[in-house]
Amino acid sequence: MLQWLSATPVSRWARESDYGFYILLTGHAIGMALVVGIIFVLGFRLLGLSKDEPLAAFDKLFIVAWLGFLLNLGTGLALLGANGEHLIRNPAFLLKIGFIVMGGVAVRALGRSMKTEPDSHAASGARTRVIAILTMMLWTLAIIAGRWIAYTPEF
Amino acid sequence: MDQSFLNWLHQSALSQATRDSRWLFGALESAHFLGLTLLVGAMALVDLRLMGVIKHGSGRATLKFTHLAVIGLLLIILSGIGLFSSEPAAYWGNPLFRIKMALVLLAFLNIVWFEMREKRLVADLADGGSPVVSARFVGLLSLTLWLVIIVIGRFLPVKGGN
Repeated sequence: MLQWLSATPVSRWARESDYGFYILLTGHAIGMALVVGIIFVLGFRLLGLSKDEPLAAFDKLFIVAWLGFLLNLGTGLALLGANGEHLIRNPAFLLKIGFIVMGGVAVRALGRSMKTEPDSHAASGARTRVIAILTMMLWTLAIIAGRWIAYTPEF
Repeated sequence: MDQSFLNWLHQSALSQATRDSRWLFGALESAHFLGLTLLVGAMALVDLRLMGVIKHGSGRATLKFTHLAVIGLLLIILSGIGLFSSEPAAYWGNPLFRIKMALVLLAFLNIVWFEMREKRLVADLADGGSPVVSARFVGLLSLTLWLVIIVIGRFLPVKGGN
């Protein structure tokens, strides 16, 4: 699959052009800021920040978060295609993917937990708050692992 | 910026530490990224409300999220000082870095403008209400600036000779 990815025009462009990598990394950083940033904002609201803010305000924000995630998925696959043989041997990269998968599961669990509660001018119930904290921790670890890719030697 | 100040900074213990310890530099970068993530997330909510894209939430309730943005900014600034101190002359000599700092200044001026002129109006905004045109512009400028600053930050190595 890596070979198929690395043959895509985007990945070849990333390897061969002067600015390809930087453009992909920039898109990756913006996507990261949007998706994880919005997760943080939701998390803190659920923990009780600005209790009068209706959860309906997050409806459009979630669309932005999804766009951010898709941007990251796209730029991430292109980067994987351009640099795959090194990345899959990098423990920081593998950890990052692991945290993202767990982070995705956590977000789904958070959504389901939120649905069991009415939108009220209050912090969420205990279970939702615990899942919110776990979710924010996992995505934080994903970002830190991502930064460490550049500094971690390969297997 | 004065060359002697840059030299002084380069000789400081902080600067030495960031160059000696890969771990410290990486930790500063991580803090910088987490700070910008918090900033962008909070400002996405606030600015999109100011722009009228999000229609829910009173002005008062929405503005409380700026506290998260402030925490993000503090993380960014403190870690940024640490990162800058690693090679002050190199960063300051990088034209992209100076552009980034100019945009940061512009973003801060936008905040000051908001605090002085727009905040009163926005605080009265009702859930479902439409913000005034000037508030929309402040929100658009804010979000645009922070995203462009991220872009320039990612491109620093192009002109930086890392």
